[in-house]
This record gives sequence, structure tokens and C-alpha cells, in this order.
Amino acid sequence: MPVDIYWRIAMEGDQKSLYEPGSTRGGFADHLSGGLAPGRNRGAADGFTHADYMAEVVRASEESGFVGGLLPSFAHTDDPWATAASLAAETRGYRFMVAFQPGFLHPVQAARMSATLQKATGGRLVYNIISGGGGPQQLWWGDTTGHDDRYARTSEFLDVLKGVWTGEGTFQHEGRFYRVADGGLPAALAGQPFPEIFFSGSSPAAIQAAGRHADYYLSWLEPFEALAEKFAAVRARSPRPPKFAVRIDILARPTEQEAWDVIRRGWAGLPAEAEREGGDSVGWRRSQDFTAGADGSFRALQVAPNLWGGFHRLRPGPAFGLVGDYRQVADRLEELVALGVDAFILAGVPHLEEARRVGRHVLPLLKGNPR
Amino acid sequence: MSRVHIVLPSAAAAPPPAVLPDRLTDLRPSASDPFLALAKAADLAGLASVVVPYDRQGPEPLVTAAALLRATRHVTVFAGVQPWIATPQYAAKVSASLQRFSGGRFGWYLDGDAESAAFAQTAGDFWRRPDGLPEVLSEHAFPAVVLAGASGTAHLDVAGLEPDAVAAAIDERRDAGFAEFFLTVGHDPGEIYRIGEYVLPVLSQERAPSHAG
Repeated sequence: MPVDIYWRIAMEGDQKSLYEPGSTRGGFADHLSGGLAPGRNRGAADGFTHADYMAEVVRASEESGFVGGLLPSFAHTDDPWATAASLAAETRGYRFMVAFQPGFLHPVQAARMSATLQKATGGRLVYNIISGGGGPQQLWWGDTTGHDDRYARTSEFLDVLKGVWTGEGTFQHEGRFYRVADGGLPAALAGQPFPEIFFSGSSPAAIQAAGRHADYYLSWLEPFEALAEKFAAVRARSPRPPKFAVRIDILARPTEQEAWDVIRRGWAGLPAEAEREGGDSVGWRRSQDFTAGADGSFRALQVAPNLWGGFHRLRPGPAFGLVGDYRQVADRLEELVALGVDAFILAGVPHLEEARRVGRHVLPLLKGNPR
Repeated sequence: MSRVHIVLPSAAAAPPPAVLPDRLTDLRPSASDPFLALAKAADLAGLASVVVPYDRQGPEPLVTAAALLRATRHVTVFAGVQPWIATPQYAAKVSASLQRFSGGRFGWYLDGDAESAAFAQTAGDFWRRPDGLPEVLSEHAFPAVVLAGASGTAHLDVAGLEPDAVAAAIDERRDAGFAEFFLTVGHDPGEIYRIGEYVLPVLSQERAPSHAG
């Protein structure tokens, strides 16, 4: 089985390094000399936008061997649908993995947007279905549905979306959350391949829903034994077991010492850890439990060889990632493949330069290692 | 000041590509987005905007508008937005990115009903209020909104009309007090170039340069 490796696109702008916090790229800070897309050129605004920066990351990842990019969606980020639709014409084989929360879109609209994108890209749209971390963030979007109900709604959303996709004007649905009469896509949009679904969520309700709909069950990186247990739980609840994907931050350098030095520099400049805003993300609680009791040193957050649980302190996002030399990181990825991982979503800061680094130095070490 | 906008035609009505004789080497690419050439023509011709109306039989307007904005420099691109497609908050969020990516050239084209107006109101409030969209995402103004059938806007179907006829139709309505002209065009970008070259100068009281001598 081939392994699909994606590279994350930073929808929230990008830091200039892992050890210097705050976005300088993508227009998420004041437009200063040295800011990238947009920045200033000869004293004037350079006219670039975040889309120009992301287009460059897309190009770098496409040229470096990644099959596509995850476009995450949060309250503070640019929007993945808008981004994929803007950049589709600038790539040839690159897949756009659009993250979205079913609660905010009508499934008929999702079908129409998806089919339009499929047509524009020749079938290169991929879904990352998320049902939300809950708490204030959900209310901000105008969504008051409770945690477990959100997964029920996601399930119904995907039923309707698939029904409309092939409905030919005859799809009928009368459900708890949606009602559709004579649903289907117009001839101009019909007949496209249905996007592959990457499904996230660590709670029992999420795993239940993933079992019905996921092509890939997507997890943040966790200690490998915990991941294996999670995958086993998904398999046990799935009438049709999905493939597995893991989202991983990579900090790879020629030597392990150089990689840890990057962490050390970032750690030295950190303020005291702030409490994360409330929410009901089970995945986040799990990741914190794996490092519970660690002292204040960054080394204490290394829970296994090359597996470090402090990335969230250095940039927004999940806690765990891989730190090491190119070979060590490749070896850890190979171990995950042996655990049953079929796809990776890798990331590194800054996403532009690190896409080329990981593509040049880490991906080639995976080749020639069939399962 | 009069402004001329084009309204894209139905995708379903797009004519198939011309069939070339067998003896000609045919290296034409497969049919690309039929709207791209029309939007680029409007951009080059100096028209004010391109409207991608909601069309049940056609592609989705937000996705189409995103592609057209990326491919143009000056025109505003209005997407037909229906109030059922998303929460108003999410519609605002998608729109904020399109505004950021295009330098503030994105707009909403709405049916003139109460539901659409309420949808736009809620989205606009979310855009502007302190606990709504983050400041960095809402640095541009809320998308310009055009209500179909609003007073002061004239809608004309000019597909296939010669420039003189277009200019005459616009002139007649301008005399009646209209300032915004939404012209539904056909699938030929040539019509749009001609609107720029022959109709805009008349509207701005300019005259085409004389080539005599």
C-alpha cells in the first residue's frame, strides 16, 4: 500500500522560526519590513496577500513530494474553502484537504462547493471533517449543539451530502437536523468522484461516527502505544475499518543535537504557560495526560525517543511531534507505518522552508521501505 | 458616475467549443472554466465588477468567485449568496478571507427579500462587533452588497447586442436616473471587450481617439 504524505498549510499565518513566537507572515501582524506576503517593499505595501504566501507553500510542498496539504480551520485562521478555491488553478496534482465543521454549512451547499472544486481540480478535493473542540469556540460560530449531538449531526450531514452527490434530483431526506426534497447536483456538476474523508475526533461519539464515514481516521500524534490502542478501538467499532492517518509536527535537522537546540532556544524565551481556553476536546485532554507530572524542563516532555510533547508551547497547535536527525525522524515514521498508519499530515515551522527541508532530507529516507 | 457591471450567463447555456476540421492540428486545452475568460475580459476592459449569480444549474458562486478574484486585478467579484447555505457567521468568515486575498474586491449579490437582508445584517454585525471576527480577518470592509432589483440599479440582458445598442439602452436608463448597470452578457469575451472600448467612453462623455490621418 502506498503511503500518502501531506504537508500542513498554516492558515493562521506563519512564524519565521519555531523559537520566535508570533506570525510575521500572511498578514497576521503589522506590515513591516521583513514581513512576508504581505510586507513592505521600498517603503510601501508590497501588495502581496496571505494567499500569495500560501501559494508558495503549496508550490514548495507539491515540488517536494507531498501529495497535498491540510488546510485547517479555526476561528482565527483564514478559511480553507476560500483558500482551496483561490489556489486550485495554480497546481496540477496537489490535493486540497479542506477542514470544515458540518455545523456551519448546509450539506447541499457543501455538495455544490465540493463538486465545483472537484470539477476545477480534476478531483483533488479531500475532506477533513471536524466536529469541533466545543466550548466558547462553538458558540462563537453560532453553534449551540452539544458535544455528542454534534457527531450525530456530522453523521447525518455526511449522509445527506452523499445522497445529494448521487441523487440526480430524486434524493429525499427527512432527518433530525436536515430536510432535503428532490436533492441532487445539476448536470454541470454531477459525476465527479466523491472526496476522500479524513475524520478526526478522540471521544467515543467521534469514533462511533468515524466508523460509519471515514476513509481515514485522523489522529494527532500520541505515544505510539496509545495510538495503537486508539486505532484498535476504531477498528472494533467500524463495520468497514478505515485507514489511519496521523498529524505530526516534524523538527528534523542534520544532527539530533541541532534539532534539540532549536527547542532549547524556543523554550528559553517562553513566558509562563497560560491556561488553555475551555473546550471539550477529548484529544487535547489526552495529549495533556501523557505529559502530566513533567517538571518545567523541555527534556521532561520527551516521552519516548524523538517524541516530544511541548510543541504547543512554541506555536499554536497540538502538543506532540518528532524531534531528531533526519534518519531518526524517518525511522519513527516507519514505525508508525508498521503500526498501521497509511497517511501522514506533516508540518514544520516555518511551513515554507520546512516543506522543502523535510521533502529533501526526510522523505527520501522512507523510500524503498515497503511494508 | 455611472458604473458598468457584467452578470455572468448560465453555465448550462455555454456553447461547446468549435469543432475544428480534422486536417488542422488541434492543440487546444480541454475546456477550462468558461467564466474565467469573461472575468478577465471585464478586468482588462475596465468594468466595475463581475457578478456570479446563484444558478441552480451551475457551479457554486463562492468557489467560482474565489477563482475569478485570484485571476483578476481590479474588478469587484460579487457572488450570489443565499441565506440557507451556511450560518451568517460562517459566510462572513469565508468572505473575510476572500476580502483579504483580493485586497477588498469581494461582494455579495443577494436576492432582495427580507431573509437575505437579515442574513447580511447578522453577518455584517458579526464582522464588526468586538467579539466577532478577529480584527486581522476583518481589516477590510464587509463585502459590498448588491440587492437584485434595488433602486438605482438597471439590469439589462445584452447578450449578442452590438455596442451601439448597449450604449443606447444604457443611455435611456441613465436619463431615467439609473447609475449602476448590470449587464447580463453571453459567453463571448469579445462582447465584454467591446463594452469597454465602445460603451464606457460614451458613458464618461469621453470620445474615442481619432485615427484619421
